[in-house]
Amino acid sequence: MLRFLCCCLLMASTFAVANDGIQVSGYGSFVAGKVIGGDVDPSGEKEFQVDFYDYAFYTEELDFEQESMVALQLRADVVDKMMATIQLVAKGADGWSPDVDWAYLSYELSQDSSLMIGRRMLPMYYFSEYMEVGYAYPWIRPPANLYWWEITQFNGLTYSHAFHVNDWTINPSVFAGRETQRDIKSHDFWRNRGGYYFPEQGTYISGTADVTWSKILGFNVAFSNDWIDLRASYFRTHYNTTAEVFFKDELDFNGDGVVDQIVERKFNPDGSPIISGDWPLTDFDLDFFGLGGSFTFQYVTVLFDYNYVLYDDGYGSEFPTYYVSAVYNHDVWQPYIGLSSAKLKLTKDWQGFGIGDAEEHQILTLGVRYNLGGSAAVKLEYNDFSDNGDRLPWYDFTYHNDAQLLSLGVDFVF
Amino acid sequence: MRHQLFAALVVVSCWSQGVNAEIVVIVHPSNQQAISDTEVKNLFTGRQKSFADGSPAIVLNLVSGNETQTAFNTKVLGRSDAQLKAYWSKVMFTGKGNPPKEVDPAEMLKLVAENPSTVGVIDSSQVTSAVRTVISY
Repeated sequence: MLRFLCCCLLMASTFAVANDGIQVSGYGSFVAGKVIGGDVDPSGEKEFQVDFYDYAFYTEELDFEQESMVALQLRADVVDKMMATIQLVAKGADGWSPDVDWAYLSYELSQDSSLMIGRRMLPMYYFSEYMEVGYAYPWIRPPANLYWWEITQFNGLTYSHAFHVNDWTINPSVFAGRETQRDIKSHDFWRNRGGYYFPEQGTYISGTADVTWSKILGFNVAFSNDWIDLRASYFRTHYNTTAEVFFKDELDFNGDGVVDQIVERKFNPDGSPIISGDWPLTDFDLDFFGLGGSFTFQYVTVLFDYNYVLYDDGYGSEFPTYYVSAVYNHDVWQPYIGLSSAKLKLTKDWQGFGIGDAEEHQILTLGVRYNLGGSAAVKLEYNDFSDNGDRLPWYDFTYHNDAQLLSLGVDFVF
Repeated sequence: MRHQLFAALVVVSCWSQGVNAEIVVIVHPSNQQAISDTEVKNLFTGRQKSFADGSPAIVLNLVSGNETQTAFNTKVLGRSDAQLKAYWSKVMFTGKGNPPKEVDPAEMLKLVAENPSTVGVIDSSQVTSAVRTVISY
């Protein structure tokens, strides 16, 4: 589906180039960061996670690649009222290999309603749709302990409509689709840091885990006037993660109770890899509820995001998260402060594991943005990650400990 | 005495700037619709894409850094140039629209005088009879 769409978009773009109707724009960020304090993690280093999707993290060594990225957007008219858009994003954390973050056809049904078909960012959190566009928000990054999903895009349909009531613009939209990410890094990443991974059977083979969000169905409603912007969101999806596994068969040829040979078995009799995953810890429904927004006063902007995620998994996992931030708006200087908090609560007793709060962490953010001319901004930011999740008798779900990070970045648009 | 003179100069300069810096929103003379302050804010932030009668609106801004445009952004839209640029980058890269085309004052007057779908901003001192002023700030 995606390849087909990309081909269509490429053809549309070629057509548009021939007609001199292509719009080229883009954005990017160059960020340097260094952990300046904290406790050693299970990995043996002091780490600060900044991008859970691409598994970018800083250590005490100064690093310029973890969050540096560049994106190119091409837009072209295909036919009357229909546009094709593609956004290619290359990130240092991903070896600078370009990913298609957005690739869609948009059709204007009327002045105030449109249909979008294709690939786009999943509108989860308030900043999800433009979390890569550093220039669009005050900080170096949205809070990493909220924006941590393996899935951030989906392929499908979005219908959007806008109408006006007094000085309010109300913009409801509905969306549906699915997304699969293959060979995701997360399972290796967490497993290597003492984290959990629960194949139903067999032993996990490094780098083989896939995650699928199917039957994504949700809606957003945005309310805005000249100083308030609010957005409520909800969606449901079916979450499934699978991995290739292997078994070690112990063979006792002569029946003397002593193992004569150990055979590693990775494939089914038909030659297909043995897959593990369809059990209540890896196959379940997920509900997402969110309310976020911004209030722009004369000198100060206040931004917030409150979310609740429910897993219908074996643990009955619930993730309440919030973020609040205040930005002072001088013409060119924008100092800011922010606090984000994320928690994991287990509400079902899975095989005697118990229930209760299992994970909790907060990030305090202090920083300043300096706007350079009309299309670039320099940001200096300090983050203090505090892990409050070491609660005996629970397993320490947080995998990482307290850490302080200093980062300096330049965001630009063109 | 020197201080008093300086204070007087400041007052005079503020007053003259206040008089000169009136910003107006202009449309084609054939567009006789009234446009409210709310509609101006909606049109220039892309939340509204048509005039009250439903006809599509083409919004024009003065080039980035133009004093009249900066004053309009601050006074009418309540945002600094940098805040607005950040806002438009969000809109552009999430498929929700494009920022207004930027033109210089002469081109603004020419385009608005020629095209009944356009709406733009300009310093009141530059308004000609070829365009119609719908609201002043």
